[in-house]
Amino acid sequence: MELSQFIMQFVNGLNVGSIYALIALGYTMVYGIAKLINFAHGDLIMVGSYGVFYFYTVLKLPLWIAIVLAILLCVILGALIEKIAYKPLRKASKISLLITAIGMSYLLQSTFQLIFTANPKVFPNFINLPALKLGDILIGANYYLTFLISIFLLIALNILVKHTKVGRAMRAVSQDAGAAQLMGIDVDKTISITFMIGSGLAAIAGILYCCLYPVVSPYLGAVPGIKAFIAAVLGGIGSIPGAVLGAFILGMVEVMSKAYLSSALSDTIVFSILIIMLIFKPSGILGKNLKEKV
Amino acid sequence: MSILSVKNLGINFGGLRALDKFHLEINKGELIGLIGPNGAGKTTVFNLLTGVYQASEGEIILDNQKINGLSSDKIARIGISRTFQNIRLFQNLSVLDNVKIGMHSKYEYSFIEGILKLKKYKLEEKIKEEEALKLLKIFNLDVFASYKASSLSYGKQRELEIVRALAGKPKLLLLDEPAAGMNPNETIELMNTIKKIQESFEVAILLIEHDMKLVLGICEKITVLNYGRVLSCGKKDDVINDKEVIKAYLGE
Repeated sequence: MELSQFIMQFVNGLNVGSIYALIALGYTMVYGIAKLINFAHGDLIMVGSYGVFYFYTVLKLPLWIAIVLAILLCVILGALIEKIAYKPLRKASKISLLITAIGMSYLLQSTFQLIFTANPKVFPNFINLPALKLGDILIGANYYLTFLISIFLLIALNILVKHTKVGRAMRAVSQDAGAAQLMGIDVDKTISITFMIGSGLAAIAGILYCCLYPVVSPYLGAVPGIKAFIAAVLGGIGSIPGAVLGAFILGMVEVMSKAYLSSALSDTIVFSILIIMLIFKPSGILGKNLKEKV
Repeated sequence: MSILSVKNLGINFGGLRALDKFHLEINKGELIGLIGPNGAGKTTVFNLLTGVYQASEGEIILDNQKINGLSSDKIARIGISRTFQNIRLFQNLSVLDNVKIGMHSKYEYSFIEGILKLKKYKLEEKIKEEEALKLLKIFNLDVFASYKASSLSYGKQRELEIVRALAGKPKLLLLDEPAAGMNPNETIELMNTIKKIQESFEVAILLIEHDMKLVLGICEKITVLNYGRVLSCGKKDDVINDKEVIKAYLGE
C-alpha cells in the first residue's frame, strides 16, 4: 500500500510538473529572446481556460473546435500583447518593461472579471476515456493524457528550436539580435512568433490544468503562473531544457511535500526553493553564469 | 556594370559630422579597398550601407534599387552581407548553424513542414547542409562543423564570419578589417582566399583594412577617407601617390 501510494503521488508529480513545464517554456523563451519577464504570461492560462469554457459550455460548439478556438485566441492575444505593450518599449529600460508586464497581467484579469464576473465557473469535464490500471494502481485518463500531450509538445518544440529555420532564427536573435538582423532575419517577426508559441503552450497548459482542477476564475493563472516562473528560474531562465527540468523538480517537490509533509507548507517549500536558488546559484541549474567584465 | 552606387551620403551624430558627401561606385565583381586613419568613418560607411544607421542625406543604390531607409534584414535579403570589426558570431551555436543562419532567407519550407519534418523540409535541410559544408571548405572549416563557434581560435572565427556572410549569396560583401589580429603568414593566406572568393563567387567586395600590404596586394581600386570625407579615390597606383593621401598618412 505504501509503494502504490508513492507511485500515485509520483504520477501526480509528473502531471503537475508537465503542466508547469508547458507554462515555464513560455517564460523562458520570451526571456531568452526579448530579455523580458512576461508577467502577463500566467494570465494566458486563464484566457485559455475561459476560452474552452465559453466556446464549449456557453456556445455549445463541438469540443475540438472549442479547444482549437481557445488556443487560437491565446496565440492572437499573445502576439497582440507583444505588439501593443512591449514592442514600443523595446529600447526602454528593463524596469519599464517589467512594470508594463505587471500592468498587462492586471488588465487581463480585470477584463475577464468584467466579462465573466468574479464568480468561479465550473470547467466542463470532457475527458471520458477509461482509467489506466496497473495492478492496484488506477491512473485517471486526465492524468495520463496531460502527461502524454505535454511530452509530445516538448518534443515538437525541441525539433522546432533545434532543427528548423524558425528555431535557428530564434536562437540567433536571443544571442545577438543586431547581428541576426544583418543576416537577413526579421527580428520583429521572430519575437512575435516566440510570443505566439509561448501563448499557445500556455493555453494548452491552462486547459490541462482545468482538467485536473475544474474551476475557472479570473485569477486562475496567478498561482500556476508564478510557480512556472519559479521553475524557469530554478532551471536557469533563458534555457529551454532548464525550464523543463525545473518544472518537473518543482512539480515533484510540491506534490511530495503535500503528500508526506504538510499540504499547508507545500507552497512555503516551493517558494523557499526560489529564495535558496537565488542566493546560491542565481543563474539556475542549467543557466550560464554571466561573467561581467570589469 | 555598377552594382553599388552611393551619392552624396552624409550622417550627423549630434553635432558631429561623421560622414560628408561620401560617394562610391562598385562594379560587378570588383574588389575595392576602403582605408583611412582611425575614426575616419569607415565602419560608419558599412553601418549606413547595411541599414544599421539611417543616413541624414544622400542615396544608396544597390543593383538599380534604392536601399536607404530599409531595415537591415531587408537589405541583407536584397544582397549585402558583412562581417564585423569585433567578431559577432553566434558563439553558443555550432559552426554549421552559424552558416545556416547566414542562409536564413534562402529557406523556403513552412513552419508546419518544419515541425512535422515533412519531405520538403528534409530535402531542403539536406541540400542546405551540403551547401554550408561546401562553403566551410573554403577555409577548411568543415571539420569543425559540429563545434561550438566559441571554441574556434580567433583567426578561424574571423574566417567563419566570412563564410557566414557568403552563405546569404550576397551581391556585395563587406569585410570589416578581416586581417585584424592575424600574423603576416595568416594575412597572406587570407589575401589569397579573398581573391579566390571574389573570382569563384563573382561577388563584389568592399574591404576595410589597415594592413596596407593586403590592401595593395588585392584591391584594384581604393577609396581613402579622412575626417568623414573622401580624400581620394580611384585606381590603386593613383591613390597611393596622391599628395593629399601621403599628407594625411605621413604628415607633411
